[in-house]
Amino acid sequence: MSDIKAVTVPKWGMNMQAGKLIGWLVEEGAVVHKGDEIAELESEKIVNVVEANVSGVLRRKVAEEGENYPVGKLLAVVADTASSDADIDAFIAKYETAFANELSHRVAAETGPNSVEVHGRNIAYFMQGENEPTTVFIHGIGGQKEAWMLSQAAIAGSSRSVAIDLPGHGSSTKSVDRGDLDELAAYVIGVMDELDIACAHIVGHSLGGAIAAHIATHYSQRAKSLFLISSAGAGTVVSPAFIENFVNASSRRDVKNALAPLFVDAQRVSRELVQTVLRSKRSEGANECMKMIGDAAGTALASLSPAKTLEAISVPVSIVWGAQDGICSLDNTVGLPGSVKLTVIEGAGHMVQVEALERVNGLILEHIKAVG
Amino acid sequence: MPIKTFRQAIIEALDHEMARDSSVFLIGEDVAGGTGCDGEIDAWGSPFGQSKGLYGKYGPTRVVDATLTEGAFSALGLGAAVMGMRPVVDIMFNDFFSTCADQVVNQIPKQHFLFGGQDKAPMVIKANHGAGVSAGAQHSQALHSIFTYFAGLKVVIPSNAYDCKGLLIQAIRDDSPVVFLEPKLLMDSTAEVPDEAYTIPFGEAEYITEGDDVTIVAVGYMVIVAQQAAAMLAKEGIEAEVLDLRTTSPLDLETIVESVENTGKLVIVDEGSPRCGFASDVAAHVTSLAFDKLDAAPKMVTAAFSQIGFSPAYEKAYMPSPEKVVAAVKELMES
Repeated sequence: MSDIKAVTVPKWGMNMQAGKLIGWLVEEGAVVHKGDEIAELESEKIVNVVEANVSGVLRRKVAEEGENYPVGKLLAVVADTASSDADIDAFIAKYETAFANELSHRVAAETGPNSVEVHGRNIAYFMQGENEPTTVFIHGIGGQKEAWMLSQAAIAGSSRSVAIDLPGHGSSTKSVDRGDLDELAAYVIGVMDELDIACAHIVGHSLGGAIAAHIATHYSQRAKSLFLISSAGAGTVVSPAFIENFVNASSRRDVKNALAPLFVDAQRVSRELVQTVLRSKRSEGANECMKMIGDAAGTALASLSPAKTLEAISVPVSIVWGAQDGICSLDNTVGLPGSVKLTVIEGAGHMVQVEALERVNGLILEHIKAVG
Repeated sequence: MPIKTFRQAIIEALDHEMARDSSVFLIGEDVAGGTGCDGEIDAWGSPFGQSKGLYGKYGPTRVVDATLTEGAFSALGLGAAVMGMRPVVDIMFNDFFSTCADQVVNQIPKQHFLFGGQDKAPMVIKANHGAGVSAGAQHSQALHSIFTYFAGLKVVIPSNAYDCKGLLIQAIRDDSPVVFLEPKLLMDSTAEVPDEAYTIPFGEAEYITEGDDVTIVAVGYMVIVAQQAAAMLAKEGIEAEVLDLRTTSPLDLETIVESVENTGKLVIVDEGSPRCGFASDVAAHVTSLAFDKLDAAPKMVTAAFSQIGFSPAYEKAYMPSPEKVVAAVKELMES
């Protein structure tokens, strides 16, 4: 095969996506040298010239004047005179197929995690793994599904998993009707319905734990087991000011200060974490939503006895707690039913799944395997 | 989260606010674009397509194609703002502000003051900004320092699509006049941008990278240049902290000083002039606030003190580049 080269839509700016072919400056059959101007292309209303990237004969104009083409699209073919027209045709066909493939990947890379509509609201989720059983992850107030990515990866070999953004959080719709446990549990069940998940292990952190316990009590067929982390449903909220401070924080500094009590090690409140939280809080309706959830769920939780809540649950329950949790107290867990497996991790606070990430992931995996 | 371009972020911000508040309207040259010509109405929607689709949705009373009379239509904007509307006045290229300078520097920023607080001028003066697309000497300047000079104007230059949407919505809702600048080279840049509305407060810098060795501050497209420089420096073991200031007025000096207290070194990357420019302003303020924390005088990497030729080779020589930033950082590290 002889020497056949492609002239494609160049990428002039780091962000250029496409260009419109204004006109050809040379005819088919012309000899071109590297650097020769062969066509005019318009991008962002600015016309520039396309230069030949190789020397040879311009054998074929593939692109048409006046059309818009994505970066990388074949404009013309330059080759020596020895190449037959059939060779040129074969080259074009091969290039176009490969390019179509690449374009479809470009598009695929732009679609993010999924979402489903539940009770008129868009609920975002992120799924990992393929094998049954399924595990559902529910974050706490101010959290979002991305926080579970490493836990999802850790159990991916044994269980497919779905991490959910509660309404008012992450990429889900920023509104709730009441924000109480009934309503929040209904979204989790709604996502399970949409994804055809009959029954799942449910992992919940903080408020997410209370939602998990609510599901096990009110939708007992849907929970295979519970794994509760520093769970509001299983302990007593001792720092109601946390939610108020968190909701009211609007600057980077305020958010940093509001998040600090979640951790034993204040260094955990990285700039990246603050940025993520700020972005989530800025979304219109997000803060109001978190406040409503904090008030509604908070009121319900204040009147609940953790031990009684857990007694009413018939599925296996594991609980993990950070020994230095300053948000949810562990005191009441003394009266836990004997069937509940409790692990207290020293040196960790309310965000025990962050401060003792590997340990907690190991416990989740162990729990799922034990329950089956 | 959906990935969107900077241009889409501008359109979405305008769309959100026009839908939400009927007193918001857009006026400027070519904001509908193509109207009255043969062919498609709303052909371009501004020179970079950053208002495309709005004319079709909101019609000629809310997306108003103006004649080449910046002085008149910016004054119209001020009048409308004083009467309770929220105009977005697009003067196309920031270089054209000189044609409506009396409004931009003498009338609009002073309205609130001159009438003892009885009047306010909640309006946005929007324009594209900077070089890099071979637009020539009169269409490529980065004039943010001029707007920053005037008390009474807030000045915003986003560096990415996410910030762009939040800052533009904030600009429209703000009760003060805001100059909102759109770097030409960023129009096609993409970022995760939520579908819903959100606002980003003015005067809060953002950390782009963290590092202990040197602080690099920038706005607009220069943030990308600083970021590329930081990546090059990282390969040589130099950790740069890049701060995106997002607004030049108000200016988040507190965050710059906080970072400089840690690194002891400051490089300002700016597409404006090296004389009486934004870089000199930041250098002077940080030096007077934190002289004893600095290991050496701040370095400024700015555009050349020169006209801007449209030739790409000329533009490249004129503008700050990652290589120039790396060289400045190294000089600073050795001093």
